[in-house]
Amino acid sequence: MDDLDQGLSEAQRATLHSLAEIITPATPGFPSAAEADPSGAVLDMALAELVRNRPAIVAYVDAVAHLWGKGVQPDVEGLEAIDPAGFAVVCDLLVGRYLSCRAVWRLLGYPGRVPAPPAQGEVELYLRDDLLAPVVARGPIYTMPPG
Amino acid sequence: MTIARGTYPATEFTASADDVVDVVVIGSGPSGATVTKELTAMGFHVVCLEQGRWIDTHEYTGTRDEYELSTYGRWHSSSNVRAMPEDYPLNLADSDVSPVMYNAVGGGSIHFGAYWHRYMPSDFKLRSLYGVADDWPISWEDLAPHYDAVDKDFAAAAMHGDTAFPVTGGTTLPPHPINDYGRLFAQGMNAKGWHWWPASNAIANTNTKGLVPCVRLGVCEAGCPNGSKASVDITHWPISLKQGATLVTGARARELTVDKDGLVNSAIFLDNNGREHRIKADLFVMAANGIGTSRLLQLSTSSRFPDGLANSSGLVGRRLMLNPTAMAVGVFDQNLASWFGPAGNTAHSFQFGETDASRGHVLGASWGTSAAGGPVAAYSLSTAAGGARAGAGMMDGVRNILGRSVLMSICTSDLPNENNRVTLDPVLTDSHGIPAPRIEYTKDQNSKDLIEFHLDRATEALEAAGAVQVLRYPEMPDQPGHILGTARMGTDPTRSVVDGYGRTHDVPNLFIVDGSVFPSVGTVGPTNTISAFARRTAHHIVDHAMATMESEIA
Ligand SMILES: Cc1cc2nc3c(=O)[nH]c(=O)nc-3n(C[C@H](O)[C@H](O)[C@H](O)COP(=O)(O)OP(=O)(O)OC[C@H]3O[C@@H](n4cnc5c(N)ncnc54)[C@H](O)[C@@H]3O)c2cc1C
Repeated sequence: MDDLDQGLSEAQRATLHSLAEIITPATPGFPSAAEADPSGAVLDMALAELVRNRPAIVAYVDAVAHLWGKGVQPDVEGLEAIDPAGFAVVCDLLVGRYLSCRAVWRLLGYPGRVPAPPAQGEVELYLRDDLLAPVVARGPIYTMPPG
Repeated sequence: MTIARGTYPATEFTASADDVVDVVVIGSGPSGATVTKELTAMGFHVVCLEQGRWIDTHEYTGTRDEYELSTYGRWHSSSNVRAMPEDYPLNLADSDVSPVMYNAVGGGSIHFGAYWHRYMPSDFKLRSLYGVADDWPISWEDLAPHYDAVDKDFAAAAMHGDTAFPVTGGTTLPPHPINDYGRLFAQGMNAKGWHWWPASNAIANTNTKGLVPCVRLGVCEAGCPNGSKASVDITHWPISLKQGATLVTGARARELTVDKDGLVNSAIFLDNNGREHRIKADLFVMAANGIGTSRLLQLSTSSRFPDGLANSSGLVGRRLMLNPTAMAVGVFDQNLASWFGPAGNTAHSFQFGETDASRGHVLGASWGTSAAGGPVAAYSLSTAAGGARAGAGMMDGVRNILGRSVLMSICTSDLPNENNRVTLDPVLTDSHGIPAPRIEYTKDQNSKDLIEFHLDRATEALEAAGAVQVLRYPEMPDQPGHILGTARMGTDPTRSVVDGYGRTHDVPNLFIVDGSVFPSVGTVGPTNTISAFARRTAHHIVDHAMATMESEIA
């Protein structure tokens, strides 16, 4: 039976999950896509955000499934060669999904977009040691038109 | 008068045949918002027609996990990708640069980076100084008081004394911190002996103009979820509405009609149900940007204006300038938390802003350092520089760039060329079936030389700052949305569309206040200059135009 969640059939979703393990595989210190997003919630979020790319994603997924069905297992270059534009769209989806997982953010040392109101004196802190002094010393650099 | 004040969708618009308002403004971005604010302050009844809708701050995704993904989709900078019903498609098949815009209450200020710069004095007189482009019929000094005023209206935050600009008496909010990556950039520039300065931004760092202080989320270009960026839906429209303006949303202007004397007498617009409405006014002001304005003028043909309204010079739609923008990213071997905003600029440089003929090309560019974004942005930067798109190598590129980079945008000036133009596409239409614009734009050799020169200098600056690698992008993926020049101002009606106040030579009660009117462009975001010009025009309308027009019409 078709799973119409996010407009993909169960089979297409399974292909997408398998593709994710190739496009965003586990690397030293970093989880696989399935480990980073075990429930698939981030994938759903990505599919929702990239809703306009859905036809291109589905077409690419079907093309890959077709190849896999024939026993052909292309590597990353081979996957790109199938349909470079479709591959790029699926990479945006799957890499975007992987890099939107908080588990991956933590490992990357990325705090996410958290409010960081400047502290008192922070403007001056970054300008310390008279950083602007040489610029001021050189004086105006603009050209004034005649008249 | 049956036309209600306040803001409501076009589907609720009603007017009687006798209703004639003072002014109709087409477009609610910075130029339309500025002109409306000034005119309503003087008691004019202004009705603004805006094809887009109000955007609520809570719709912005910046604080949510999907933020970076959303910039590939519904918050993409390209209206062609977003493809919302209120967007009109652009045929870009013949354009080297993809112009971006936002169609909503607030226009491009919803999406703008809020880099807030004046043009340099020389930008107004390029022909006199360097023999290129055209002089403006007005000078920097003419705009100076209006620059000072719009700085306040847009909550400009800047450090005074920038040696790249003449000093005026204006005041601004204090600047934002330049952050670690801005400091590193500054150190590189100091090592080279080159100009830099803490950047100016239309981003609040105190409670003002309906804004709250910036918390450096670094997401400015997809809308500020904190309500700190000076988008005019926050800074201007609430004031104008209190002053009695009417802002009709979901109102797509399709045509301006003219009477037997050649004056505009009405605007025809369509609501979201496709129903046609007509509004009459004494004065009409175009504020739909360099594409939207020339599109509507070309759509408004009549026996008197067979080539489009106010187009006796044949220049409507021509001389499109887009400020082609490049980018250099310095990668450092230390954590710089380079995701910190504003984005916005933190530090800028005008070292190579002026023409220097010894470089073998004319014009200049400004540089700005900006927040480089999160992991998805790092991925985009990596792949655009040839990094692995997928597989085990993909994360190398992300780790290399994320948080450790200084991103420099290089905004180049642009020469006017009559072959770079906006026309009506014979096939493509918007959601109402109205012909969509077709853009023809070729980056000329001067632009290519400029970009090459600036990428070389930027590389030197970043290396002087200690970059271990410099990635070069001759074309920034998101072009800056500076859409200029397509209804140039001038004194000669055969060689220009509007005069120095934006009044069209052909039609005395039609003004243009957006960037269409620029005869040449600077090296920075144009919104400060557009708004200053719009303010000056509004004051001119108040001071002179009504009286003059009444006597002319009589
Ligand atoms: C991603 C991005 C980043 C940018 N960054 C900067 C920056 O950092 N600094 C800077 O100075 N500038 C920047 N800009 C440019 C800035 O947004 C524009 O200069 C500014 O918005 C121009 O103001 P405007 O009112 O003239 O036109 P717009 O803001 O484009 O407003 C025009 C309005 O007219 C409406 N309209 C068009 N046609 C019709 C019609 N037929 N009927 C009804 N309504 C119509 C549109 O919906 C739109 O709301 C950026 C733009 C973008 C898109």
